[in-house]
Amino acid sequence: MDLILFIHQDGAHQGEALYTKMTQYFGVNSIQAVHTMTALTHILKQPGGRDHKVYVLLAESRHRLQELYCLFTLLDGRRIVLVLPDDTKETISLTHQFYPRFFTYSDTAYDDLCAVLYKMMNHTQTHSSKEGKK
Amino acid sequence: MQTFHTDTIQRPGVLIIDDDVQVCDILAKAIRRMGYAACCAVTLQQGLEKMGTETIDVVFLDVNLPDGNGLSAIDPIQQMPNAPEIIIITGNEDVDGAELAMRSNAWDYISKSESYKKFTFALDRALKYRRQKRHQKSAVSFKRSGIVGESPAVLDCLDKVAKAAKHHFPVVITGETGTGKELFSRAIHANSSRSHAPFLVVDCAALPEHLVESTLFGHVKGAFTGADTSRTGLMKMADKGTLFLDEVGELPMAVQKKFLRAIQEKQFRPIGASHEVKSDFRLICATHRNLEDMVKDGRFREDLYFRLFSMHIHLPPLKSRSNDVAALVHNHLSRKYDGSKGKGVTISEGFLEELKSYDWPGNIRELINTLDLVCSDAGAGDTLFARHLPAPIRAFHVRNKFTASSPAAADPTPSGNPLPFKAYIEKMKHAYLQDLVSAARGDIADCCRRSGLSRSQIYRLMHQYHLKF
Repeated sequence: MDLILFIHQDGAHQGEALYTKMTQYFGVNSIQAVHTMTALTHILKQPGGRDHKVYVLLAESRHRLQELYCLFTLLDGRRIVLVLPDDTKETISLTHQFYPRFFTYSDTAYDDLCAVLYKMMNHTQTHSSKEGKK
Repeated sequence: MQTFHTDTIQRPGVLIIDDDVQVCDILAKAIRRMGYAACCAVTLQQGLEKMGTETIDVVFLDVNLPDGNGLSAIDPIQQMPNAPEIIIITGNEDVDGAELAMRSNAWDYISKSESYKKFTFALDRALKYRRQKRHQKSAVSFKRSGIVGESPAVLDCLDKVAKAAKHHFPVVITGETGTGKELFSRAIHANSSRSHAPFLVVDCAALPEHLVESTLFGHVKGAFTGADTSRTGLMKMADKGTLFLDEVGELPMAVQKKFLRAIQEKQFRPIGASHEVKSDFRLICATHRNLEDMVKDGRFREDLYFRLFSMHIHLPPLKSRSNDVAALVHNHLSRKYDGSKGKGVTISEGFLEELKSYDWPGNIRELINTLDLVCSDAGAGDTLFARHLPAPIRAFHVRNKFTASSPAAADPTPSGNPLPFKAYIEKMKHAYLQDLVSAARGDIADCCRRSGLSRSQIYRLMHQYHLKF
């Protein structure tokens, strides 16, 4: 599975629309959903997650975003897409410290997010096949 | 005579300041044979001008010049930014002059009547000293931001990073996938006066065409279907900071014109807005594509290309810096096991040797993935042996070893896939010269005897194939 979707159990309500939209675009089998920080940490510690995987992290609050930032050592070097609770200066400032490939907000319809993910996955496949031909 | 020979990977530059054209020519040829770039100046003034425009690491400076005494120029040269090492050359040996040169921190004082070896020896030592000095300097004042490696190619890139950090002009970073383009960009930002402000990533390869403009420039509410609220674009968010455009070659042509204007004017109009907004951001771009070819093919605007290429940093692939593999491995493992007391891993010689010999098409990213995989298989607290490595790496190493030791080692033609004739001949010549120098232990006379070639033929071939004694 190339898409890791983090929706904390406390943010399940906000995450429902995101999960539904992503499964519509990519199918259930392409997405690995995790709902606790422990589970996310476990996945990040597994080998081989730096190449093809994209990590979609929903932060239902700024507190969650800060909590996620504590995992930065494990997240650094991976392709991260963030879904933010708001666009306040503090939230945006913290967001940039993740060096995300893309970010959007939880009040959107997620079509743009899925279009970005689609392109990221497609680009990775094209790129990998080129590398393989070398 | 004054032409400066430059390469993709910049070689050390040597300037000869001497009014005797013959001396200039002989020295320049010898220096080029050593694999360095050389240029000449026949007056002090000309030499000082060259030092201002070219990258010079060592200067051979004559004492008696038509427009002044070389010894009196030592101080002004040493005041220059990135001042070169100075080797004084003279036709008239003079004890006082030699003492003055040494007191002024010149590297050496050589008589023109000395043997050629004396010049090359002094030059080599001066360059070695310069590399060490540069390294120490960068270690003290430079934040590496996670960049690991001591190979000359990496140190050269770090030098450029340090230079770029002092300015605000755009920088383009090129290199294969996984060579660390974003890491080097972050290093430029971290060492710049903008480090207190954000570093923003725009992944041009990930953005669908319809999203690029609104992501970069922002939009106002109602600007297009679905624009329910106004959003600030990344270019505005990067105000006072750095905007990093990853895979800039993927930027749609339709957006390139507006983007060019925005970086020139430092202001732009968000979609649907009636007023322009200002933003003072520093631009760093990265790409694995050849933008020059894209310009020729009409897929990238020429004016944008020239605007972006104020400075270019090309990152070497990992296979060309295999000496850094050990440091990269140790760095990753120490980070990985940081805090887990007593659970670190030990690395065997064979393990490192096989990692070094692999060609790493995915570069550092592939190395890190491999290490994670290997550690997961081996478990913490264990020793990593070569047998822990994935089969393709082991197979590559075995094939390499076999090729190197087989009688057909010089045959560069993969079975069933012959090279074009010219390429084959070139590879054979290269392999022959390597064998010749190795067999003669670098002795030029022995090379001539074994090969039947003249001294000048060998020097020319060595230069042509970038080989050294």
